[in-house]
Amino acid sequence: MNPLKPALWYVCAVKRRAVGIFYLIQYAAFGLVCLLVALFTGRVAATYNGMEAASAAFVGVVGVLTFQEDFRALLQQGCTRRCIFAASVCQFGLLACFMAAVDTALTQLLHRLMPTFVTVFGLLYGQRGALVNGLWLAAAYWFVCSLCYLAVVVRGRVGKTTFLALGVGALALLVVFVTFLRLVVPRAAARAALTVLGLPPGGGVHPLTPVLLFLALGALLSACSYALLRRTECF
Amino acid sequence: MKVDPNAEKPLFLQIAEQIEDAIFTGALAEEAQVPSTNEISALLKLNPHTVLKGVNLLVEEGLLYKKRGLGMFVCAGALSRICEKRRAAFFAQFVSPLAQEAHKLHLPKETVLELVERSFEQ
Amino acid sequence: MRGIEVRGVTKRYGSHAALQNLSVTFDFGKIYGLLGRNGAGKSTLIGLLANRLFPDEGAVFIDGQPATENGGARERIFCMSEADFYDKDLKIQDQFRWTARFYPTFDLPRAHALAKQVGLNETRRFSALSKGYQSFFKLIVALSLDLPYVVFDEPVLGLDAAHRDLFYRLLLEAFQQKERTYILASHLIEEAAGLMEEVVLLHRGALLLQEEVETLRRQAYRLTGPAAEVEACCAGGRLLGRQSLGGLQTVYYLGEKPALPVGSRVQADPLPLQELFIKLTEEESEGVA
Repeated sequence: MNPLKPALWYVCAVKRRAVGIFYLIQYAAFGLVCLLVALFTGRVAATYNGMEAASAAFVGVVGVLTFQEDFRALLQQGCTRRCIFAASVCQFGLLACFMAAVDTALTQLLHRLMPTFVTVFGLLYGQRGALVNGLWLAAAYWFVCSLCYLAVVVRGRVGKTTFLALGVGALALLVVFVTFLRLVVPRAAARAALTVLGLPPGGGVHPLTPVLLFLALGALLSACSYALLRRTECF
Repeated sequence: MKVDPNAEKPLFLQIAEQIEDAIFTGALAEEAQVPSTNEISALLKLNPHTVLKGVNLLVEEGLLYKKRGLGMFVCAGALSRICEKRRAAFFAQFVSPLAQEAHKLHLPKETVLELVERSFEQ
Repeated sequence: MRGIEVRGVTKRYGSHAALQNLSVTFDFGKIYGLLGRNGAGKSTLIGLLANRLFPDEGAVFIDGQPATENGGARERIFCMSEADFYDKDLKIQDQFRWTARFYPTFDLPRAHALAKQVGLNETRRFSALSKGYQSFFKLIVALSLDLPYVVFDEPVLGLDAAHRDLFYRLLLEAFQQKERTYILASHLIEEAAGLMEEVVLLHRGALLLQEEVETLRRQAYRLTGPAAEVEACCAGGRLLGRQSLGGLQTVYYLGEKPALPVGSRVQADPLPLQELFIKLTEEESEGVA
């Protein structure tokens, strides 16, 4: 018996309904906004562009649930941690691709209908092809999901108190680091940051660079998750 | 059937005795089928291995035999074998304690014999 | 079928050792009672068998395969746990269906039949069930699996008398259908003692005793009588406790039944298992002097 297949089915199936409900709420809310705008201004136009952000938050929640609920259930069903991890990562990949495809298709469509509506990707890199937009979104979702998963795995290993301390510590470190960069090497740091985000200061736009960056970071975070998960106990 | 888990006698012996008693009283006729190990085990909520041990004891004594695929049956002549066994044990099990008790009560032998005779007349 | 071997396992939580260099073997084809008081280490041992916990020292083997992070061992053992590891929002029928996908030997029709028999409504969510039915759901899963080793952690918790009785019957039925090992972990044993062939008694994370139930029954006695005579009788065995009531003394005694001299006023009764275990695991502060 190879439990990877049922494990992957399981983690996906228990979230199927959540994805459906999420989209229902998301577009109901958007529809309502459009309707209100239309009623009051008489124009069919909306500049709401929090859709991708909402999706990113949602995939983050999925990452959290995958550890808190599925880990215990799958362990009880006789899966090893290696199998659970593999199923989780596959799930993140599938979910990121699926949601990126849906979001890209819908936001591109909305952009065609209402030129005032701009996708997050379009905002950053200018309107480009749907494919690169989708790729970028998928990589970003996968990164967010992996990050949240790692966070909750860390929390599972070290306990709530230590986790909060670690979180605060990490934030403080980040602030110090950024401040340090800005004070000491302002130019170089800004250049480097823009370059890896696909907006080199020298001009031109390379949206594939951040895709690679997100994928690499996601893989790195996942590797860290596995290193912790393989010794995580379940009480 | 009933076993007492807190009695000193091991459970498998209690089971063997009860089946033997059933044969002795005629509740289980010769060549009749004996309840299966599983049935007894389920009825008494006992480990099947314990029941099996008791049943096997009776097989060794030649009181039960196994028909392949059908179950356990009472051997022909089981009743007379039990009677024989119990007759042999009669002295140790009943007569000897009687004499001991009589001795403790300072009952003379003649009185005891008289009582025994009276009990036969009833 | 080499059974379950626990070899020199130590498991610590911080500075507290839940299991201390524990070695014990469970053979294939027997019903075991895994006994011990609260905190004796039963659940920790089950957590190790179930791959939920990792030993700090030593290892657990299931038919010779390491129990930890090993798919091969996972296919041989199932541990019904006292804690609920299931997705509480799933309906019972879906829980069964998922179990069948993870365990190809899961007997889905039998699970449905058992659910019907105990009156478990399969369309309800796990979280909506009463404590007793939650327990019975987990028992049905364990009883419908065809695996060589099945462990029950506090199986009758929250069950009423009729359901407890039913569980013992179903357990025997499954055991008779196919040879396997059942381990029943509990601190209440009297009503299940007849089912068990062997008991493993844990105390403070260590093995206190492993013995066949039949043997154990003939090894523990309560001697009651005049103090001097009782004391004379129990020279050969181990004393577990003493109680005095006026001139009468009661002694709990572990060992072969002492030969009582003719005319002795000492009475020797076999000690019920539950009482024996209480005496064996009683802390000094709790005992009656």
